[in-house]
Amino acid sequence: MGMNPTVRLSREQIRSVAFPLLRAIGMPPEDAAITADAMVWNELRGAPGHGLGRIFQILERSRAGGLNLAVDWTPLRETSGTALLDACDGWGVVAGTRAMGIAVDKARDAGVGAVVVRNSDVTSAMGYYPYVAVMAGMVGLAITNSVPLMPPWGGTEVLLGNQAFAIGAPTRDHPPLIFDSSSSAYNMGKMRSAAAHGEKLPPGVALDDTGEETDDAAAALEALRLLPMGGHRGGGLAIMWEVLTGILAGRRSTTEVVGMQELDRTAGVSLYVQAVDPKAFLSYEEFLARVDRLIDQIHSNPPRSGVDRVRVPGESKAGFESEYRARGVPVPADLLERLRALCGDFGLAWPL
Amino acid sequence: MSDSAGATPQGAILVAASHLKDFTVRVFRALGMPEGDAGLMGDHITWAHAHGHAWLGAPKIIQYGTRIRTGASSPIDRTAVVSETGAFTLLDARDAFSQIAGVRAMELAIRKAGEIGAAVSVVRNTTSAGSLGYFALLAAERGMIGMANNNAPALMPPWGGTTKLIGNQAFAVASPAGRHDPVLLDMALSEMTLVRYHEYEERGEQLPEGVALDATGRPTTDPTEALAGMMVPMGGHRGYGLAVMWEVLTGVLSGSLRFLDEVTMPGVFDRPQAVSMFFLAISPEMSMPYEEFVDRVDSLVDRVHSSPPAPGVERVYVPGERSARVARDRMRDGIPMPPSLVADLAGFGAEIGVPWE
Repeated sequence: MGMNPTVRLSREQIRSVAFPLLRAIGMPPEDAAITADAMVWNELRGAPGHGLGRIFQILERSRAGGLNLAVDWTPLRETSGTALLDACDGWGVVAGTRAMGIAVDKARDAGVGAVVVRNSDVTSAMGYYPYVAVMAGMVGLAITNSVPLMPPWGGTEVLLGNQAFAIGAPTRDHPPLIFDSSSSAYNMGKMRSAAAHGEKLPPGVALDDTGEETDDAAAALEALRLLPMGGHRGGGLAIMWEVLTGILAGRRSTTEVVGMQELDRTAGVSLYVQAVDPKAFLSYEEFLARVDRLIDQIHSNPPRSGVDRVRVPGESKAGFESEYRARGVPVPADLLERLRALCGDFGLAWPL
Repeated sequence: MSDSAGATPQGAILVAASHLKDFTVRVFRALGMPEGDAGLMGDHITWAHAHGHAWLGAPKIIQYGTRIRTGASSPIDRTAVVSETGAFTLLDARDAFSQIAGVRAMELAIRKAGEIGAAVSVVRNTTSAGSLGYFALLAAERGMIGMANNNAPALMPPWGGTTKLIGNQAFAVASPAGRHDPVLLDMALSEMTLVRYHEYEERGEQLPEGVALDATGRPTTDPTEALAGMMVPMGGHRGYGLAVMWEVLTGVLSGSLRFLDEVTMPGVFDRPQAVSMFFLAISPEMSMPYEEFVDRVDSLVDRVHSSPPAPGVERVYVPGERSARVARDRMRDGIPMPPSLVADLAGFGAEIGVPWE
């Protein structure tokens, strides 16, 4: 990691690379803007896996036929508090952002807005969708299913995705409170890192290809049978999240969902997003003060030995954000070279 | 005291479910509760005990009854709507029991979801929620996906912390099915609950690793230290994160004067508990005809059932399946209770002029 030289880029610079490329790949202006903004946000929060590199995934998936860039985002069905959106195999970030935007609009009048999305491509980082609600002064919740990675609790064959979900709330003096988690005990990134470093997995993380629990990260990666967080509790959560996504959205569910590596196959992911307007409950200032008080009380909890201080969910990512806003986001130089070459392929001027 | 496995312990007395419910109703009637609300108390407590949540069942008759007698909870439901919009209602329970205020709140969410597709109710100033599954199931029985959360008294430190700050936040999600029973996830966010610590202590056994902290925040396997200490969130930092966000949806959003570590245990009788609750009802008809939805849930249940079980596992279940089976047997054959519990119930009844028989 340290061997790879990086270049510090501002938010505007990241966006100036992403937006024209997304347009050149074929995304309509509004969808390209949504996608570029989400990439900037993820880069800022130290999650580059959901940042600029995804441009290649969008290019490859759209060329191979797995991703549709020309989507009509008009909801299929609507009430004054809900909507059903068919993403028509469009990019998941656009689907999730637009769905949350609709939920926020509904919540302005109804107090609560809920939107389900069918036929989406992979949804990338879930935290962005509640963030969309948070920016509108609301509490946001987003849940997705994914390509099967977990057996049901007690089983040995994969049936459920790792069912990522995120919840966010606005704040006054603190960065927004954004909790973003998968329903598996370990995420894929940690698993790959353990395998790369030859580290043993802790108990309760994965099965091998015979269905027995394993602490061998390489065997776990090979078998791809993750165990749920918190054992049977997380296993139950994964099933209920499938009901709210794949089942409620009415198209593909469980093993019908396809992974992003299969470039020419549509993913068929579903989402459930919800916005709750705290102004329907109490004054907005009072709500923000209460969230801040919750955060302050967590911060003032005495840390156990070996812990520097007690954090709220998502705080380490918010820490990246404050540093990167000031000093720029470190982007690997080789990634920038590949992006520069791509600009050349499209006849675009390199914006940096 | 736990009996979630459904086994009948040696020496247990079988109490007819109808008798437990009837006794509960008579107790709360005698303590000044109107008949309909006493019926809700009886229904909830019997449901919890029959479903294997023994600690949320019959013993609560005495604890809740004592709350009324000390003035910490109100026998009269004065739950009032504080504000509402098309899809949401905020209610102040004014110290009415969650078994009553929670039902009113979930009924409102169900009604509004019927009109608008999805609706939320939030309740403040109520008591410990009992079995959250009971509320979520109210929605599923009316053809809706239901979710219910509460903020529990502080039982866990924040992740990496050493002082109790946040509850283990029970919550439940239920979905209707077609051929199958509703799917019902009913859980708390701690690796282990207080009642289990008590069981280990009674049996003189050590706890497994990773389920408890002592009073200074260090991991312990001693159940006595755990009871004086703190719980560990399920799934580590993930469960902690969920607990924080559930506090936002309950205590923060309700506007309750007290939230987080100011919520008190049900056994603290000198003040109201100030629990908050969050209820969500979603009509599947927001996206498809109801029949199509329950067919889809049935296929999900079938897929889970046909999963090859791991070594040592008899078969793979969906959430709530085993406790529903236990409850069916108990509603028919009676609910096993230790003789000491029956004696305590009879003793409490005698104090307020309500015979056990």
